[in-house]
Amino acid sequence: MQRYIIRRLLLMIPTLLGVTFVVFILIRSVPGDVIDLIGGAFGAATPEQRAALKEEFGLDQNIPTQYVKWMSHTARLDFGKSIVSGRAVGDELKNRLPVTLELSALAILVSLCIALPVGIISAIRQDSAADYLGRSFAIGLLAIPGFWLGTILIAMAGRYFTWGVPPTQYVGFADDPIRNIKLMAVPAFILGAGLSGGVMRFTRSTMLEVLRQDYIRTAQAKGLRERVILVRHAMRNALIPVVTVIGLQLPILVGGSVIIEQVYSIPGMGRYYIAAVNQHDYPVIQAINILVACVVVFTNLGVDLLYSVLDPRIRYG
Amino acid sequence: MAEYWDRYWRTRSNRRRFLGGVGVASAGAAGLALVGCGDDDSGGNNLSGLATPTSGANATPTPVDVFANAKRGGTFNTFTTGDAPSIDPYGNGSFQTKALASYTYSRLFKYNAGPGVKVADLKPVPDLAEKAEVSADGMTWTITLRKDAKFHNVAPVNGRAVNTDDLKYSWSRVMDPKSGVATRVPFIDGVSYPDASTVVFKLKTPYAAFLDALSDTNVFFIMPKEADGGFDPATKMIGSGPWIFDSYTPSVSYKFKKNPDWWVKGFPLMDATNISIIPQYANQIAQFQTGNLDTVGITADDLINVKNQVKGVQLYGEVSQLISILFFDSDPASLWNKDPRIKQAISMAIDRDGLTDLGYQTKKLTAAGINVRGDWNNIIPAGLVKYWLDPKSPDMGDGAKNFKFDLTAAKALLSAAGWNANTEVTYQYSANIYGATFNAIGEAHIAMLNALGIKTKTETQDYASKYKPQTFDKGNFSGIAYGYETPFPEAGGYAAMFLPGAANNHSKISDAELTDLWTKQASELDGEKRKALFKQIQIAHGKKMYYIPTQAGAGTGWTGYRDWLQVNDIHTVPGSYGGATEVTPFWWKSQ
Repeated sequence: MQRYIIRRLLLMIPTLLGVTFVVFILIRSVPGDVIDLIGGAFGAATPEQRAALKEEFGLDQNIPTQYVKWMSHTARLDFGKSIVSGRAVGDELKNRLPVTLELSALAILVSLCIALPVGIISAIRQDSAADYLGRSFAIGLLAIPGFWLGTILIAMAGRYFTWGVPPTQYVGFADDPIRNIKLMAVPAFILGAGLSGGVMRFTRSTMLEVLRQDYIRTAQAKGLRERVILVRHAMRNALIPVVTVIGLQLPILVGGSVIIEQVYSIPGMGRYYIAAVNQHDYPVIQAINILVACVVVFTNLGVDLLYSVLDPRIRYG
Repeated sequence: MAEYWDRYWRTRSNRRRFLGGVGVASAGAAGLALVGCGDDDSGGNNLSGLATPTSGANATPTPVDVFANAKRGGTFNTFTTGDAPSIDPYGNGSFQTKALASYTYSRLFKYNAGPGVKVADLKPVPDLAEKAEVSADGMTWTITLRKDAKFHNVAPVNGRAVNTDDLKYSWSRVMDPKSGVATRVPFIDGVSYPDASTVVFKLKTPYAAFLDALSDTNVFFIMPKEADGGFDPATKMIGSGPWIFDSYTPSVSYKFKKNPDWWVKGFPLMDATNISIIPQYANQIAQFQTGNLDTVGITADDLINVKNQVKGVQLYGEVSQLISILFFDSDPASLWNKDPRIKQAISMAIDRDGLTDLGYQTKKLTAAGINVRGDWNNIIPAGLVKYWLDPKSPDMGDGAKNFKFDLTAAKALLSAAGWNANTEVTYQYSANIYGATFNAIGEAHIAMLNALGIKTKTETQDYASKYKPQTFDKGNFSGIAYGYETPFPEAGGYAAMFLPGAANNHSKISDAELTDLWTKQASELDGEKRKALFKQIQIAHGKKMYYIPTQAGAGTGWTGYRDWLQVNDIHTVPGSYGGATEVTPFWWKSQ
């Protein structure tokens, strides 16, 4: 196991290097120039002024030189300063990443609370009214856009149930848990509900597959109680692919909760990222991409390791 | 009420008791006219204008009927839609950066917002300046700093007096290419600092809007020289304005405390301002409905609902100083650059009343008994009433017909110009920056162009990467573009759209008549004569229609205040991005 983990960690290095290179090149290929954006109204900076700005931000050097310099800083976890705000990118990420991780974790929790029971019931009561209802529910949750649901819920709260209006400003969980949960609960529900549709359908299909396996039939023949068969034998096996699906949701949530963050004024990574993209703020875009890439590779490793916990037959050597 | 205040300030002006009535109109005629603290009878040249309640030690008492019963204390809860790209006033050209800066940083001049002062009557009055003198030739402005001006009592500045070293540092930031501000003051030849309280601006030519430029929150904020290494202005704001920077939590809030040492004694009335960062409109409205926000911007669509739902809500409508325009590429081969009738025909095909109703619900609101304006933008915005010429007025002359919706005549004109019906034109605009009203009007233009017989290919451009740097800033595009013109605090900026070489001459127009008129207005120090020149500019342009003014920005924009907020008829200052210096220090909460 130890050797496996070390091998996987070593394999992450070329993966992450590849990501850094692609991100670095792609950002610079996007039409528009950050110098135009910071060069003042009407892009009216003179050629000399533009040259001075490029020099100040190191953009006058060739791409390989810029890349190597950036990588040498990044390797030391120095993400530099935002070209636009002048603030340290690392400080911003330090504040924003926990917020997004909290929202993502809550969303996954919500999605599991909805998806697993409904998916399992739907599978064990296949083609029953409960199954049809559960599947319709799943499709419904998949179909409702989060931004729409979020907007409607806020608008309705403002009009009809003011207690449901989220706090005006975000407060960290450690500072004020109640206020924090009051703000995070609804967006987490919206994100989680959106995810739950897919997870539920996946849970249902894997459960159906497992329930048809010989060992389940054997267990039934041995006279084991249905609950034991479901929990000990069916669910444990059915959940392995579900874990993969859930594991893949985390990086999607980390980079993709931007709309719900906008709607609920949550100071997470998504808002920071969108602003940076709009402003061509290279250091910020690069740092966030690296961070999301790290979340992806480490989550994948975590999911793979979790397999061996869920299924003792899986051994890494 | 307005008349009362007008009489009040005029009386005070004549008694030479106040600081700040700005007599641009008289400056040229009076030779070395005194602007600011009148100390002799030449002060009679000063026009009334100061509405800021007190102005330091020399000021007369605050008008009792407005502020006598003011309740002090409390926190003003407001919002902004996003993070300012930088909190350094020269760190970014964004309006959010500038609006934020006006809480903390002073300018040499500001606008005279006050009870009963209409937007049309706003004019520059001293802020950090005590007085301003202009030379007989209009080329040199000498400005004296007020003696009681101190920076905030925050390390490393610790409440020291403001002096010209600070102005020197701040001016170096203005001229720094990174600030992007230098392009707004091309008329200034140089700045000198004869002593610790005097600054002299030497102009290249006389410039009538000089004091407006100093009042403009896009231009000259005074920072302490310690910002040059003593503290980081990207993370901390230290100025001499009404509000002391308390904290900034990215994407959460900006917090300010009142500056007890502000030279406008006794103000701000509230103890603090708490600006929540709330990007989403539905959330803003919900927070307002629940009372978490004291004020909010309300779209015309929601106005009646909010009026009915929020008990005691105070609604305030104002037309902004924004014009939206259709502008054209500068390719000499383009047919519209060969035959002016094509632009005129397009303008006649624009149903301006229809667009205003689409964007601002004029019919619905009028039917509900709400007074709304439905004026048409000229090349100077309908909201800039002092200089705006109503396109419907007889004064527009021949150009009036180009504003009037007449599709039949427009088609005939287009046909006469030899327009080929198979020609496809790219129609471009940015749909990800200005909001629903702008976008709806932008889409309606397409239908109107098509109805005229112009085939269009729509290109929606990303604002940051394409529209602003290429289409708008540099005029690098082909076809027709639609966008807002940059808002300017006074009319000269709009008229510069015709000036060869001007940064906002998007279509690279060169017209001898308009250039001549612009040059004349720039150096005309008599207010009435200058107004007449702007009228001539609008008449001349109306006939030619180089840019087609359209209706985004022309309708009434609405602000709601909760019933406990006492705003005293002091509202936002268009040239000052809301007026954190001019407006909110004089509001209070009754609960």
